[in-house]
Amino acid sequence: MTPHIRLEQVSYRYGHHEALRDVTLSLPHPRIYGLLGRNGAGKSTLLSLLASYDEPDTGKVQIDGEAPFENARIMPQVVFAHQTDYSSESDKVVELLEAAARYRPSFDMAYAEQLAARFKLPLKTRASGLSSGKQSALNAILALAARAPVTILDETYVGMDAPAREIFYQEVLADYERHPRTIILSTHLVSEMDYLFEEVVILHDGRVLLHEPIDRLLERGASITGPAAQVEAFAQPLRQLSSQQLGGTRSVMIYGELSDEQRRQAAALGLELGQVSLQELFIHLTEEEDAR
Amino acid sequence: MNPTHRTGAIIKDLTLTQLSWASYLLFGVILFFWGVRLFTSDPEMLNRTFLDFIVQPGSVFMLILGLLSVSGFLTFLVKQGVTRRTYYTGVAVSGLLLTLALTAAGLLLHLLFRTLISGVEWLPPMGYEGLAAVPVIFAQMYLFYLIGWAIGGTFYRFGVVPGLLSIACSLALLMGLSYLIGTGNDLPSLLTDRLDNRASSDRSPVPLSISLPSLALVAVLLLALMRLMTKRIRIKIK
Repeated sequence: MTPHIRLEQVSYRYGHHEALRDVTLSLPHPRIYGLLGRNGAGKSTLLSLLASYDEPDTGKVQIDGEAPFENARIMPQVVFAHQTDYSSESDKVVELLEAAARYRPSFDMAYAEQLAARFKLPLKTRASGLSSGKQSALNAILALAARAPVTILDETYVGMDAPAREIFYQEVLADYERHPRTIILSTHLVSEMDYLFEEVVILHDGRVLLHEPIDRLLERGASITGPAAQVEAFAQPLRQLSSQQLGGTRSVMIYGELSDEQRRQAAALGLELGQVSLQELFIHLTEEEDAR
Repeated sequence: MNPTHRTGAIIKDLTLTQLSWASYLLFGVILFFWGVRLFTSDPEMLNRTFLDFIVQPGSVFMLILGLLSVSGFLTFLVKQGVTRRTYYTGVAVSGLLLTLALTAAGLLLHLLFRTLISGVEWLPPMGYEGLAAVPVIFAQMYLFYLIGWAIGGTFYRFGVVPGLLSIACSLALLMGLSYLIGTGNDLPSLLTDRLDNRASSDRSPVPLSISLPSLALVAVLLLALMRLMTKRIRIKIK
């Protein structure tokens, strides 16, 4: 049973900096979530609250109906992979896997070894001697093999080369199919990972800017390209995120669903309607928010 | 794994890990003890028992283990889904078991070496007659462990300046404790300046009926402090 995650008006401060402000979210299970946000948006803070690394200043975090902080039933059900400094770690990779297997109720050692082979991670090497990419692979293995009902991967790809990242994405999907659970992927590599997400949460300045299923989100974004005057007139009542002009041709990115009537009108005007990527939406939605 | 089994597993893991490190310490002290007998003719050194040899490095070793208990074990265990309460119990009990093991090993080696080495007028360990020093050694090493834990916890939770303050407070506490332990001769050398006049005096050690309950009380207070400090401690992402 994968637990449902709820956050109600959660706020968190680091000294004078308000990292999270009145965050309210409901994350049904099982699902793969993409957690997006610019640097300092509050992603890691939010994830650390789910992992019981800390508790909110105000508001409620609930997993399976209970506050996870210091909860002996909930804490083992959440695994949080984040960048880890292994420089003073004296244990070998295999020892770290064995330690995780001792504490994690669902840890699958055979799967961990299989992943280590895929990532070409030497089991007998001390973790401190691994390159940053291999250390990230170790973090990914520890998180995926834990098979925790809530699996949180916070920029786990850092330092991995492109083939290793591809293996990581494949394994996230494959293991999710075998063991459906809540997987939260926090990332800056939006264009590379967007196909993994079922739902997207965008945080901006500590607030939830958007939480949508990815298909609905992508349906809401569109690019309109054509003669500048027609594009301007057509897009004028719509929510515009960005615009570009080259000679007499203008391209406008809009956010909001277009009705069938509007689509017919665009076709009649000779305007080209195109899809917008998640990365483009993310960039322009957060820019728009900054401009407010 | 239910919470009770989990706590048991963590106590076992922490104890075994720290015991493996303690074995290096014991080996080093044994080498030093025999090295002194081979290369020194100083009668005061030659007449000191193995218990006297182990109490100082043992205490410093326990202090270091205590220091590492927050940065080393807390983040790792919470990352594995272990509660702070279980971590606290694990560290407190494993420290106790480790101190017990180290004291027992010291006592056994002390008895063994006394049997092997004849013709020596052994000085009373820490000024105590017979084996009365053993419970004091146990208490001293565990207190050093708790003090190290408190310093490590203060640095981790509150930062550098409060951490440095906690070192100053710990030194003051150790000076206070030195009045309760032996004749003061066997506290680690960082305190010997203060203890010079006591070391040269002919004072008898503090009676166990006073020192042991007092040391136990300090240990209980430190344990309570550590529970308060770690109860809701924020885990740093590193």
